[in-house]
Amino acid sequence: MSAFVDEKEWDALVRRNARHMLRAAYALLHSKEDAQDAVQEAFLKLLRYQPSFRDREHEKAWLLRVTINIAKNDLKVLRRFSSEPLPETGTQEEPLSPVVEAVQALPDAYRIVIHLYYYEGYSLREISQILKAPVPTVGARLARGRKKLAALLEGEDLA
Amino acid sequence: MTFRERYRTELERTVAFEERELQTLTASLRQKLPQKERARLDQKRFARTCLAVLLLLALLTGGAFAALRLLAPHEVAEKLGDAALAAVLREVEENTEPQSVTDGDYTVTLLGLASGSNIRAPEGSAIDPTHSYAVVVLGRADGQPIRQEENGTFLFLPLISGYAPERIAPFTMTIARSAFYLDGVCYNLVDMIDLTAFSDHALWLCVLQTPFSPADALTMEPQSGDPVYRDNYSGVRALFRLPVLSGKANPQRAGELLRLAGLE
Repeated sequence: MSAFVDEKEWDALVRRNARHMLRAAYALLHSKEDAQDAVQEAFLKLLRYQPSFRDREHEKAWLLRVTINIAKNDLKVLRRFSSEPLPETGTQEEPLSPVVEAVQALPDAYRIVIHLYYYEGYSLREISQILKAPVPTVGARLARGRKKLAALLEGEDLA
Repeated sequence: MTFRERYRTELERTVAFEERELQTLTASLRQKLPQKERARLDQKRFARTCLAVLLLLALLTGGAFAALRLLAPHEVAEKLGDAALAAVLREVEENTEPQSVTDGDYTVTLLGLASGSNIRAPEGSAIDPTHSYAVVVLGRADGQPIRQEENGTFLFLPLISGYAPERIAPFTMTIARSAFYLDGVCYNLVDMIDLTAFSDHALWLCVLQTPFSPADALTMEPQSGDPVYRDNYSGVRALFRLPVLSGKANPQRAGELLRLAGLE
């Protein structure tokens, strides 16, 4: 446990990354509770693997990738074992805004690309590194996601 | 206001993760730090005091576990509701034999392996050609049913000759893992990066029992590039040399994966 024996350092790492990870997990899972579980698991993987990071951006990208993988797996398990259709929205008290609701209505593969592009501000290349998908695939998913979003939001400019 | 600004603002407003929730998460994760140190001590104590018991259990190797009829890889995928993968595994399993290793309390069996770029995925299937899929069974060597929490202590990790496990773990690690229990054993479907791209290297699938970094359990021998266990590692040692994958190696794709991982 060499890298994180310092509790302050560990707390700081959790705090600077947790909200980004929570929102990425939420984008896939539609549930704050499930997103928190996925993020907790991602941090535990960090403790287990203790990868070395070049800088904080690399650290954030690694944590986002692991969180997204965990959330995708959770989604697969939830769909496999749930006889009920998954809820379309989260359990938050405040209703989702039309924009957030439209993003949440996209297919999984488009939704996460749209989230990483618009919320995190990542480039196609950076998203391809996080999702381990070729850049053209990411570009196609972004284009199709935008098209669907524009239809859902009745022609809103997504530039 | 641009769409990006609207999405950011509205997501943060409607899906707010409050400071209180963040504090709870941080406090919960902070507790994992000392737990790790405790677990390390527990491992050492376990190794010292249970050696005699382990030897006895080793004598029972293959007893009740071997008598059990294990599912075929395609049956595992079917039970997990993945018909497309089941069809792929059915093709692969005709040419592969399960491999078993018994070490300490456990018997680990690699039932089958399929690599995305080396298989013909049925039309419309969800199989990802950039992934490999392994079916691994965990059972107790004494024939007693394995407990659900025991399965969670195992780590599945592909190894590539010449690359230190702790360096490649962040990108070769399991992408997803699904499991179910039947007849006292646990079937795991392990979804990994595509190993076909690296088939010009020696490849292994290792099953470790370490709560920490895989580097605590093994390292790669500098001369041969092969994995060797560390002397002080006391968990299960199950290392499966993977057959040469019939799909051609793809150095370009392998290089791309390594570059993505920041290794080349």
